[in-house]
Amino acid sequence: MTPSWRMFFLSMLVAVTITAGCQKSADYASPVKPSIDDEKAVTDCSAMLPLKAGFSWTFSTVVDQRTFTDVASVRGPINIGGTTATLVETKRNGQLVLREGYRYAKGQLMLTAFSTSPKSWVIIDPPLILLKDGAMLGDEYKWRGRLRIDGKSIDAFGLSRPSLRESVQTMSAGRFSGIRIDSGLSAPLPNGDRIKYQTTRWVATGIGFIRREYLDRTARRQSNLISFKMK
Amino acid sequence: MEVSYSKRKKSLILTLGLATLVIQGIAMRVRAHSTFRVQPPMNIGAWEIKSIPLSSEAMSALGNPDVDGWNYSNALDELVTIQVVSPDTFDAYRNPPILTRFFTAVSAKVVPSKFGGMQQTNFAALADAESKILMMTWVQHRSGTCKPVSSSGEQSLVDRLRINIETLVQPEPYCLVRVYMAVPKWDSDGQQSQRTVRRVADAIQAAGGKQP
Repeated sequence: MTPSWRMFFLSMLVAVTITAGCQKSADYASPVKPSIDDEKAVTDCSAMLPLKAGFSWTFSTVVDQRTFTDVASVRGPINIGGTTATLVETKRNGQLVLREGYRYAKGQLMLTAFSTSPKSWVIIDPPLILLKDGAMLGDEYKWRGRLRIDGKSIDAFGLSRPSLRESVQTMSAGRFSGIRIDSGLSAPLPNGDRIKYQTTRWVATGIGFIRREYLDRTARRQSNLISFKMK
Repeated sequence: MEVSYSKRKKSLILTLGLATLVIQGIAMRVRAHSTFRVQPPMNIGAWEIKSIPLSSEAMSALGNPDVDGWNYSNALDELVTIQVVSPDTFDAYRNPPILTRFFTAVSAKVVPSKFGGMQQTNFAALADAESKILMMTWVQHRSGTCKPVSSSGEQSLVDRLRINIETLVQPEPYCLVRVYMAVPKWDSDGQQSQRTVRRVADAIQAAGGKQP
């Protein structure tokens, strides 16, 4: 190999290496959404779901192509399975469809129990944290514990997460900026089935629920706010 | 003179081609001496892992390298898929068939890694307005440091060449890692999905750094 050949060959190798190296730091960010900037979801979580006896929210819910009016009312503190919680009772055409026990303590908003029947409760032990003071969007609250149902107890796992800040257009109460909170509990049963309780709540400061969504067997039922009453 | 120049040009091209092949061969040999595949952690917060072997179609598309497949899932029925691939074959650099067949790359960028100050490639794809997949892919060394496979989202010949040349310089075992998930419809601009994929990627990179 002559010196000029060697020089040419070496410069080509250098050129290939430099070209390849340059690729490393290039940024081809075109329509790169999403951004993952840290964003605070909430400062004071007690303001996101004001739970005073007499407060109520009226929703429109579509089930099997029929539209129903649901009213969720705060019934005040009660003892559920040894824990004091604030009862939120939802009725559809006067019939009870859902009860949930909420508790706010030590800067945490928690779900303590739920029920779709008027007689028994599913007690979440320990309570599932839904939101914490100072929570950031995307924070995940891991839960592992037991679900107590009619004296029986089964192992379960779950989580809750303030996922997004969203502008929610309600049916007729206006548009609100709220936080979407996803939560799920899952308990495997010996026969291979699972108990699932997946819910999504959109809450806005000073108003509480502006939208709700529940997994009903395999379908998700969304309830959109018509009006709310704070007295 | 012109004939001589043309001959020289041809032999130069041949020599370069040969040299590239030799470099590739050496690089593949260096890698073959000690392959390494990072082991993802058994759980990441509320996410549990399950081993999911790749389909024969996916394996074939990647040139049948040594590969581990995993799924992370949670109580919200969300699913994140992991592929840890030994770069034994040229095809191992290809994106998973589900992406190449149904999706088109729409955006990609290199973002900093928390570990080793290196960077990784972030890649988003969509088939239509209805469905999106978000993927993060990178090269991870046994020491835990990471670097992007490519900066464009598509693994080109230049990218493979670069990795192989870098491997010659620093023959530390490495693997290719891909983390991807379907973006749910409610996450219209993929903010939460990006947080989730990033979180899983961070956990795998942290785990890799701890391994011997």
